[in-house]
Amino acid sequence: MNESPSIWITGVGAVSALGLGFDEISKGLLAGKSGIRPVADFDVAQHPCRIAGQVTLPPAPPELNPTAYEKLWPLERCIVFCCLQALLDSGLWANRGQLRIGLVLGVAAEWMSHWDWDARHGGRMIGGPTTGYQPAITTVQEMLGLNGPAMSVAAACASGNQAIGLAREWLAMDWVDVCLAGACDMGVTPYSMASFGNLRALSRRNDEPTAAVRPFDADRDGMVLGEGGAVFALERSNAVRGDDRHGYAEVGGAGMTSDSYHLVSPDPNSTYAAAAVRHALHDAQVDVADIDYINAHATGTPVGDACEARMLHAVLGPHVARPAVSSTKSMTGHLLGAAAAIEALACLTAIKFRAIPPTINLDRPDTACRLNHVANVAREQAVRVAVSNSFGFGGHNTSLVLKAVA
Amino acid sequence: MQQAVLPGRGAGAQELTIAALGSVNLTVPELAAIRQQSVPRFCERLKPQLLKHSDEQTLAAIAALAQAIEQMPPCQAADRFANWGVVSATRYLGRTAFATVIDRYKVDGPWGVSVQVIPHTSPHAVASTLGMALDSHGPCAGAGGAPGEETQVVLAAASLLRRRAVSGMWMIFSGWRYPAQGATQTADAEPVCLAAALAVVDTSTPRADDLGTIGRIHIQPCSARATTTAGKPTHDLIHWLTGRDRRSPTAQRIALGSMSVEIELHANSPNGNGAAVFVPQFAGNNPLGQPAFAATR
Repeated sequence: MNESPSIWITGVGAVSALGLGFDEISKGLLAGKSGIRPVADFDVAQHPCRIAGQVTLPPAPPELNPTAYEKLWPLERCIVFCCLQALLDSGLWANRGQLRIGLVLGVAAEWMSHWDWDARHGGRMIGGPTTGYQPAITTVQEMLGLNGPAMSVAAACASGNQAIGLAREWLAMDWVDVCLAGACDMGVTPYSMASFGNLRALSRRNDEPTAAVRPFDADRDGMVLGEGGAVFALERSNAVRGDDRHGYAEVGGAGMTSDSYHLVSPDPNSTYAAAAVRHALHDAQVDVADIDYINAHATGTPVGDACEARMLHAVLGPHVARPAVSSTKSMTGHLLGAAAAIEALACLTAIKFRAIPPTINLDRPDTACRLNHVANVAREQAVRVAVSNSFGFGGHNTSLVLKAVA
Repeated sequence: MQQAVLPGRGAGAQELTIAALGSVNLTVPELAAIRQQSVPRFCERLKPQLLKHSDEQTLAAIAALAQAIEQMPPCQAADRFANWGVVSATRYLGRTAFATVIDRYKVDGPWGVSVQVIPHTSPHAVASTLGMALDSHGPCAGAGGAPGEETQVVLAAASLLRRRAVSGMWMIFSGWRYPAQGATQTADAEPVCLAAALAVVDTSTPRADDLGTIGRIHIQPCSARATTTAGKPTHDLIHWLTGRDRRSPTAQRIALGSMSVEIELHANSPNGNGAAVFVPQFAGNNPLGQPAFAATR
């Protein structure tokens, strides 16, 4: 029987409040370090939440024209940096002109991000002609010299998992030789902090930023926004085997469903969130008893975390106590459209370093969220199968299964 | 009609059947009427309280979707679209609402910012709202978000149909057509919101025959070095689908990347004034980031 080659992650580019690149971010995750600090670059005095996981965007990498790079919007700069790092990390940069390199990028609110930045800096782009502006994916293709198909996908906070799932299909269908996939978001802005704050979704623990995000904790009071993202280089395994390159993990399966319930609130029964996890496991041919680690979506909101815990009980049944569970949003903040991507990175961290990043600030686990928590300190444990859940406004449910490769 | 020339079908080629196409061109008063009363088909699931916050492109997409469903064979099953997904391409969705946010923030500070802006005007909002209308539980997402990015919806729908986890996909296109400078009191002097809704299924599934066919979509990967002749942009996909720009030529090509996509509507399609083919031809790096068309006759 001819089996399709599996799809491997062979390169990672990432930016987060914990640092730049896979190694630095992994180190922060495993150390239980918080990236949450008071917002520094705009006035938040009147905001209900005044803390976030902001990033310092890196200067122009030597591979790029510094003048062109410095002119980019912050979101574009984040995207270009992550894509470049992923290609460099995979060892494909030098050969990129010979390959069909696709790009599937999760971007939850690209134009809103640009309008926001422009308005804060005195511009009025939002009311003027749009000529002269181009989509971020085109900018990436131009600056990195990519010649495959490209797409941006928006599924709110589930955008990154959708992007990785679609990229996996592009490779399986032989549409591309390599696919860059992931998501970036620069959502720490006055307007988004105001909108989420007014929704009462953000923590008000402004006086203790590093203790503010408390997924699954009985004293949680909301999420804290973060910035950054992660982009992965995906390839068919048969293109990687036989040379000296390595794979971080196999993208084993993806599940994507919709609640069709409400544009903000999740379905309290979590029927279709559970279906997304089951689809991903089925797609990956993984039994619930084989899951080692679940990176939960858990943002730290009272309703959402309990809802996800109930859903995991429903999916895992008698095996619910087996997989270790953590929410790395406790350290990075909620990266919104890029959350799934940075959490896929956390799964790669667990697989590569045989240690599971913790949920920090989990001092008093909520009895409504009984799971096998990795609380406050990383747990040394081999991880063969990791599941990353991401859900979003609009009822988007996604789950990704990542498997260790030999 | 001259058939568009495509590379030979090979690995990675995919064909989708277009089962229905609905399209609308709505003026501002017509959009206001939908906001106030919803549309009959969806009035139970999309109530005015919800639509009050929707972007105009969402309202137009709802009308196009209702029109497309009218063309499909009647079916009594309540869960008719339960296993379908929705992918939407909008053009600067939320621009008006966000301009209001910016202005109100200046005056009222953070407390002036509506909690409705993000859920209703982010790029996923059209697909999510239509998913709610249909009670669909397949994946919903936005793709692209600016003029020229519409063909990404085709790639997304084809990718999601591949594993047959969904029965079908709705592809939604929306945007505004603004009056030309100097336009006077004619029909073209008003801004019009355009929307098109296409129901597509994988041609190789039995379901494709049940639903009928008004057209096809062919997708074909090319080699990395494939090239195409690009010409002056003359048409775009949303104008073509909404019948605003279905003049000649009958075949067109766009340069975007190393993929080839052909959209063909049969002569008997509801919006067609004759068979027509739309061919976004992905080949090579496109420095403009916009589709470049080369018309053929």
